Amino acid sequence: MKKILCYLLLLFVFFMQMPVWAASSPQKKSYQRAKTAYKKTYPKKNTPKKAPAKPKEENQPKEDDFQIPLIEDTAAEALLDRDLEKNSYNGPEPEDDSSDLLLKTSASKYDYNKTQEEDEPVVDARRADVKPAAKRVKIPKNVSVVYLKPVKKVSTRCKRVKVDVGEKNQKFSMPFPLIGQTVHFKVLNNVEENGNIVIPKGADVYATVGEVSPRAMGGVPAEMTLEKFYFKDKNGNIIELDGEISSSGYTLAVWIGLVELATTPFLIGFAAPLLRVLPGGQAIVTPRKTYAVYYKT
Amino acid sequence: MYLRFFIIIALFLSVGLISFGADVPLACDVDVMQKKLLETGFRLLNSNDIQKHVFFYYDISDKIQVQQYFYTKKIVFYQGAMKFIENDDEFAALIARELAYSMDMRFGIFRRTSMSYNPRKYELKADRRAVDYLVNAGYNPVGLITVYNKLLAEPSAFGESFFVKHKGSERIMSIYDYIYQKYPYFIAHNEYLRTPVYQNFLKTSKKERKKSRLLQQTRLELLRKYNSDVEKSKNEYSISDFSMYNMYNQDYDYGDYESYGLEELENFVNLLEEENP
Repeated sequence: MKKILCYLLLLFVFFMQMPVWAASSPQKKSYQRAKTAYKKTYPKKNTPKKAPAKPKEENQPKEDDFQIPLIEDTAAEALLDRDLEKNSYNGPEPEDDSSDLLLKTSASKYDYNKTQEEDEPVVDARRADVKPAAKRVKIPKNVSVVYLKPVKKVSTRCKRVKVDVGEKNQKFSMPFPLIGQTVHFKVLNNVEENGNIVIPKGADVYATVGEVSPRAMGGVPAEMTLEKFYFKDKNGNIIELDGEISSSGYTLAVWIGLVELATTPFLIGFAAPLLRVLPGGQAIVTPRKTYAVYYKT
Repeated sequence: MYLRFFIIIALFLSVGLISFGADVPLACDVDVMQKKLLETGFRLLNSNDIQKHVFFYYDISDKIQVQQYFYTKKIVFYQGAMKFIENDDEFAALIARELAYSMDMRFGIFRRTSMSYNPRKYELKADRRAVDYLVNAGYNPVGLITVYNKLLAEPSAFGESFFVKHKGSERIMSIYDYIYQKYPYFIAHNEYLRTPVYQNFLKTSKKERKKSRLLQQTRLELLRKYNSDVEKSKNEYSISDFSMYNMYNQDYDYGDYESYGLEELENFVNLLEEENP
């Protein structure tokens, strides 16, 4: 019994090594092996065996070989009797100085004409010299929730804004609210630390709009992110609050899909281009809802 | 006795035979790259406080691709893409972009359906989100522009890009515009300005960059207006006046921008500044 087990174990080990061998063998060999394996034909069970082929006789033209018949050039044969000489050029050999000229005129390998492009000047000069610091997540000792409500409703929308481009004014579509816009919130609860009120109820908290992506066709909603929440205490110190609000509008994509499925037999496939024109909903941050961010120390 | 003897032989063989497999990719390069990938991936996750599990895997196949897989929650970095990468910023940029896309995928079934219906929008969103991730993790987001200038294709409008994908140049301009708006420091102090790849981007995007600058000027004018409104409201609603706060359904008054040209805006802002010095 033990012996059988041992043999089985050995077999298992060899079996496990097979992929290693396959990988270690060079690719060409395996390709050739695959090629030969492909060429191999296996006789079917019930097919009659073919008679052994007769040995081919030597110097016997093959039946299938196609040979082009030789056409004799009679005009050339007539010229053979004449003593004709090949014209040869006896003049001076032209000097090939192009390489020397090229060496003189062309620039060296590394001295190609480098025209350096300059980038557009940064408009927001105030922020151009302030390097955004990498975010470092600290492990907080105390975490308390700060409930907020915005003072006004903020919703996404796309507007066409007139921009002075050279001679003409052009209109460009721009998503609103703008990135960097301040949004005003009010605190709904007292936030305490060690028995002291750090952020009183009704205090002003400000956030900035981080990212806005407008709604699009196919029932796709708009999305908006508010980040960098901060609060100013009595002494004017800025206290940073952790967290962000990401708001998304309603999506019609699922419903469009269902309606497409249901109406395809009746509209013969026309439902898809018709319904996919519909956009999704606008992202809204509204005073009807309560939002939460975190005060961490 | 036999059993022990054979186990020893089997172990010996298993070790020995693996060492014969010279072409098996156990080379230290792959190990180093896998470690590098893990290090960069977790740095991005931790610095952006992403509380999701993501599996990072370095694949040795020659695909020029970095891809996220939703069902296995993994991000696979294929070795073929390494030919195009020159520094850490570019390496992190590709991972950050896939991370941003996978975060959208994991938002819920409604979001996933939306993404399948209009992938063009979420493509740009992931690119822009990747810029945020890179900045938070301490990388230079301009790396995303340079690596995409090498990697992205420019399919024709009626080819694969129609309704499905953006052109490479459009995506790069969208990233540039976002950096220009939100992190202008990296444009003003650009480490990549003299590199051939970035120079090529500058040459091929003159008009778009000019447009981007003009739009940013307009945005700044408008921002000054809105943010000054909020500054005013600071005085209106003090802490004691909390009872007065119940401003339901009040929209921001965006005004009629279409009537504003740049000159009118400038006059308007100057007036505001004179009124509120």
